[in-house]
Amino acid sequence: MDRGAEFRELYDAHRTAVHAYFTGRTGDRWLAADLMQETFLRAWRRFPELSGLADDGQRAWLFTVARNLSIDEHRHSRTRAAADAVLRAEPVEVAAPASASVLAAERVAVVAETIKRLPEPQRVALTLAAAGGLTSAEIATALGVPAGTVRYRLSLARRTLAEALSTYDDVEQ
Amino acid sequence: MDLDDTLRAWAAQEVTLPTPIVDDVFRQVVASSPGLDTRWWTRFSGRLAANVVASTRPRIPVTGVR
Repeated sequence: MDRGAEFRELYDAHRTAVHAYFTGRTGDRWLAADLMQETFLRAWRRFPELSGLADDGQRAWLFTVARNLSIDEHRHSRTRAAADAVLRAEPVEVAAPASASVLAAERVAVVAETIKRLPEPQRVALTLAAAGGLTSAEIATALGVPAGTVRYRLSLARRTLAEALSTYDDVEQ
Repeated sequence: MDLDDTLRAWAAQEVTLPTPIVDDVFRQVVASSPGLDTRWWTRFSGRLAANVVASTRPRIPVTGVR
């Protein structure tokens, strides 16, 4: 197998989780795609040493790079985040649904808006679990925090989402 | 549609990248030179400058401070 094909295996094994992490941090999947590309660019440059690591070791390496990139991005985007926070403070308008599919779409919209307003640590953990497909233990390793902390953050996030959906359902009935 | 179903739909709709974007990112990454760390020039030029400065210092035997 050539180097490109070997690297594609690494890329496919970890890209979803890395992208989910950046989406959780930035709230923007396109910006997250740019940051994911930068992460894998660094991985490609270090591929000779990375290819010798086990799957967990590769994930740990990638998330160390991702966390550092995310810190840099965070410094550059404080102003933008402040502007977004003002926009997010606007109440969610929920129109009367006409069908089950519309109802489902509106529930997704309620969840999306609620996730945007979650505290960042909860949002990142939830995005890694729901979109990145990682377990609590894998998220803990990726973020460098105890697994119990991850489980607590996920629990709080899920409770907030369940309450938001419950409120939406009450309004609909 | 329970919370997990809604979260799956949210992930597919709001997070997951389209396959063409995923493939394009990969192509751009592997198009760069593997193993070439562009910081090598910074390190090399830094070492070169240090060597040049060191080689032009007058050689005074160290026999004690007067």
